[in-house]
Amino acid sequence: MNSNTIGAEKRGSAHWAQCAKCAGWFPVGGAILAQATIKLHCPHCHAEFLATEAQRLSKAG
Amino acid sequence: MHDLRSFLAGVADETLRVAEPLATRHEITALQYALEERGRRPIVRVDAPLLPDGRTSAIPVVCNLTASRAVTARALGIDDHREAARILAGRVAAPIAPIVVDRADAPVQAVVLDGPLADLRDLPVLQQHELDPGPYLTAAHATTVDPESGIDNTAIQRCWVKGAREMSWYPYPSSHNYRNLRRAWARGEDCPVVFWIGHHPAVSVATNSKLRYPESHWSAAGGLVGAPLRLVPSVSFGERIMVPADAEIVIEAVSPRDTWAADGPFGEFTGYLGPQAVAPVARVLAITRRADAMYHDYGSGLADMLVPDNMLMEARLYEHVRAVVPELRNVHVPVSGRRMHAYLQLDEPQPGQARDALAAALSYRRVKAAIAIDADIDPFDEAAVLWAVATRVQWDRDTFQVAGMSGSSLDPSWPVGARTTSKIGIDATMPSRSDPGLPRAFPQRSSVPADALARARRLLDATDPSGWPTL
Repeated sequence: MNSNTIGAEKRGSAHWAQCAKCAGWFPVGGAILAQATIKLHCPHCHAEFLATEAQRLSKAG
Repeated sequence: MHDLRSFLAGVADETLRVAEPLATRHEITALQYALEERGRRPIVRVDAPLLPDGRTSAIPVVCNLTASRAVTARALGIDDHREAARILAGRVAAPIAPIVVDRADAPVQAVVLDGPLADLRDLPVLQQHELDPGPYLTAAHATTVDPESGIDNTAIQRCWVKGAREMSWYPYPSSHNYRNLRRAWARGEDCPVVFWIGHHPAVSVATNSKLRYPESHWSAAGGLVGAPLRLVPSVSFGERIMVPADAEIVIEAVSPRDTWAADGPFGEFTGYLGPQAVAPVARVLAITRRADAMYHDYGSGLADMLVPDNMLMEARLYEHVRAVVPELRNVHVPVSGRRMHAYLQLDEPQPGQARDALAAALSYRRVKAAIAIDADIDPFDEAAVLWAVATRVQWDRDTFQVAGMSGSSLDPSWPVGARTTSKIGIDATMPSRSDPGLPRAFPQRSSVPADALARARRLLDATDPSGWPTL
């Protein structure tokens, strides 16, 4: 596989976080994932938690 | 007088007035989706919005205000929406300074709620989409000032209502409001910001137009409306930040220095959920409103929100492209392409001019694909545009791509980590004539004689079409 083929491959750019409390997934931007003190807010159950406390992170790229 | 209620009085026949209670959480936005399914675009007024705590708000919700191009054009004083690009292009260039009125002459300050009396939860703020984390102001015109020059800036920015007097608001990092916020914070100050809601659509469209920095949106709005905007000093900040005297509701707040919170996910103009981001906090100092205020909501990602912005884009593109190619006849920024497609109608372009026009259009902000068409193609008939693309384009000859250009990072097709986008120009025009007196070296389009077509139309006009298949 040459580099041109890799460059033409479609890859998504959306990151997702899984709530520390209810396990629901929601989309998050790279900037908030990089924050050490600003908590994510789960839109499913409204729990707040740091990105490092998420059950899982699904990062694009 | 330009205000929301004077506008609504003139469009009563084009308004769907809902008397039965509808929940602010999802149900009012669902009605807009159902209307789009049916291809109908009335203004919607909900008289009994149900709040999340079970109360019925005394403040009605008005939405879908600008979903129709025809209605939006009329609000801007344009008889035919197809003429928006040409007519608005002339208007945005001639600003008119605002006038200041006394508080007694400012309906928006008839009711002043400050301190503990100010409660955002009393407003019928919609939670539009699944996974929006809460209610969002979507038609909040956020006004800040450059702390050095004192010049105002206004843009519609989403605000997540998180409590009685707390919101996050999202000035996009490249926005002028964001620049004003950072400038205030750099001086060690909190940033004053006012959010005004509900005005004549022409004022809303005009104040939300993209200008240089710093450049007054109040004056630009006057230019577009054709009359000076009436302003009144805000209750909390006085003349430092003015507010439109004829708005429905004003929320006065400060953004405390270096205070950020999570904001989103939020249904965006692209039709997708934008990711949760970091946004400044706004702490509410006062809410002022008319005694019988109405609450305005834009359906985010729906025609309601796209149409007015796209019409202004058409005006900007018309000016921009016509400076290069005077043969430009019209521009359409279609809702189907969100804010990323533009159709350029050209009048007998000479060799090279279609590409010149396409290159100019692609340099404009969010335009990601531009299609050049001839004068025989109606730019507002997307089936006709696609017919031109199908029959007048050789992809290797008639398209060009450029990369590394500015665009919207909310475009979900961007690769991860990208800060720029790629764009394409498509020349769907016919070959130009080699001599004005000779036929074009291209087939003539099929047609029937005009008199035969007129007779056929008369025949159909006298026939009931209900029950006939449309597909």
